[in-house]
Amino acid sequence: MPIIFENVSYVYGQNTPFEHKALDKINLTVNENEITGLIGQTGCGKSTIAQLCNGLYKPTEGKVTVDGVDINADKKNKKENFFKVGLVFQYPEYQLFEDTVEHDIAYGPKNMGLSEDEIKRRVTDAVRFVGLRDDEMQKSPFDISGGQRRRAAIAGIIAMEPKYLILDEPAAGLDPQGRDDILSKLKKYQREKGTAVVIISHSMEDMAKYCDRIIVLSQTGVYKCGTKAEIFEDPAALRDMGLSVPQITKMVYCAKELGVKFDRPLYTVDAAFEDIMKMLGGGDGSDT
Amino acid sequence: MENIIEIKNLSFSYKDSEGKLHPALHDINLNFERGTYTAILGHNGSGKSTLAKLINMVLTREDGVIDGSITVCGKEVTGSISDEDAYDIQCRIGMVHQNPDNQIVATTVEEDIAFGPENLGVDPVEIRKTVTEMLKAVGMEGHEKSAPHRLSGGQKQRIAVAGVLAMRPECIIFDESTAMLDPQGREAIMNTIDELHKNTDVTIITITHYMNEATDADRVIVLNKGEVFMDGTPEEIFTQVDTLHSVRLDVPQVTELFCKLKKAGAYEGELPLHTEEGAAALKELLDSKRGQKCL
Repeated sequence: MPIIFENVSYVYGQNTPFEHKALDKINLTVNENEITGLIGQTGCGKSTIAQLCNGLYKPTEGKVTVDGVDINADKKNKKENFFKVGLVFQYPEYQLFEDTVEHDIAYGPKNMGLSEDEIKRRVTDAVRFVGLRDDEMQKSPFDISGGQRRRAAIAGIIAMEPKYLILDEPAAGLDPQGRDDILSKLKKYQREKGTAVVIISHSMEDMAKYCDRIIVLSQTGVYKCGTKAEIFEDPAALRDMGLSVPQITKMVYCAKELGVKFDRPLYTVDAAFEDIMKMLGGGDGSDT
Repeated sequence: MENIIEIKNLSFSYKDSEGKLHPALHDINLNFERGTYTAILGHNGSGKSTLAKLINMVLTREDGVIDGSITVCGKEVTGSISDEDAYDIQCRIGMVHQNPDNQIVATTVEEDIAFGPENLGVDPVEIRKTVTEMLKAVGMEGHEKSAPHRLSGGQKQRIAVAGVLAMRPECIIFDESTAMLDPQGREAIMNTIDELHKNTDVTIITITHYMNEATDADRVIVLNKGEVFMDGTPEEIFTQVDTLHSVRLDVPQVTELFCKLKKAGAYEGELPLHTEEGAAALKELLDSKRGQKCL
């Protein structure tokens, strides 16, 4: 059963002069067993949605259900839901606080009241997924590099083995290889564990490469949910919303205007390479 | 052209609270010509930000051990420098940071832009003119009375740029200034940088992890483990795809595609960097293939 938003509104600072409606009656679904990308202009409510999913915020209006349970109906649901929906904030490395990396990653599972053995198993598992080295485990989180700190913070949430894992800009500020490394590890994690993963990002290239489905938010609500092909088929509409398409897709549209014909929409380098090689191979034979 | 920044045999190590040294830069030799636009790339921890912070004296001898020298506008900033000179250099070298919230200080846009010149004791009539002019330069006319926190990320960042411009700097360093912005915000900042480069003689240095943002610079410098690893035009740098991958970097998607085609023996020309170039090269490639077939 997925995460479902039904007519959810959220107002910041209600009944104050600073009242601001961040979300207005939105409906969306986060499916199990896939990677969902959440894109939208700054200030459209992406992070608000993330915090509504795990009950940190309570909708001003409407209902958020996770696995069929209204998470805000009573306190017990809420606590259960904290463990079920893991949330990794933007720049999570600033939240590390324990004396060693190992203790930091174990903090979540410990709070779940698990046995020592189980905590150890989960920490080991999470560390393997994010790719931290053994010698880093006993170090202070402040003595490892920024990229490794980011990994440790993500491992801390993974160690709680949430059924849904939501990450707000997990690759922001990392160098290209760091980005690819973290995102491909998340994909591998998703595929191995069957967890639902939601990634919020401003990089259309990353979204095209790693997500199964994309939700596009505009300033007024959910604009579109769909496959990458469905989302990137209308670059002009995305542009109006302050978004974009991957550079490779831009190039394909540009080439189309020059008269080049493509068989399908292209949004990754690998797919473009494949198709162009086919076109060069002269396999189509339809040329006159 | 005269060099606005000259860096000679520069090494720098951070000193931690226990006095232990952590090397960050090693034997850097670079000159920046006045009015040029340079992009600095490098993996996390390669020393990009350290270099920027040494240039405008956010980092000094108090923060670590400096060998060699940096000369900015003819004054050595890495040696003993008088407070007056230090102040002067910091006015000449502006910096735009990653998070605009960290450098916006006032409650309205115009007050924020006026903050710098006010502190320099500039005449109020002159400041009024400066505010209007700078808002125009970053494409934010009409926002004088807006509250910065109500603006989008890209708009806020442009206000931060206007605030730096109001100080009439001779050089601006953009330290990952687009990292927190959405695609439109990123494009707006990149356009602002392009306009500045075209219309003024301000020297521009950008530090970025987005390869697409470096292709419009005059020059690209790649740092690796605290050393200068590559230095050349965007065309010279980005066509070395494998070398860039070896230092944790990337190339624009269009370049990557043509590099793959080249390796597969399907393409022989220059590797394109930009979208339009790529589309044109592709069209030409397919046309020539078709031509061969007809023959």
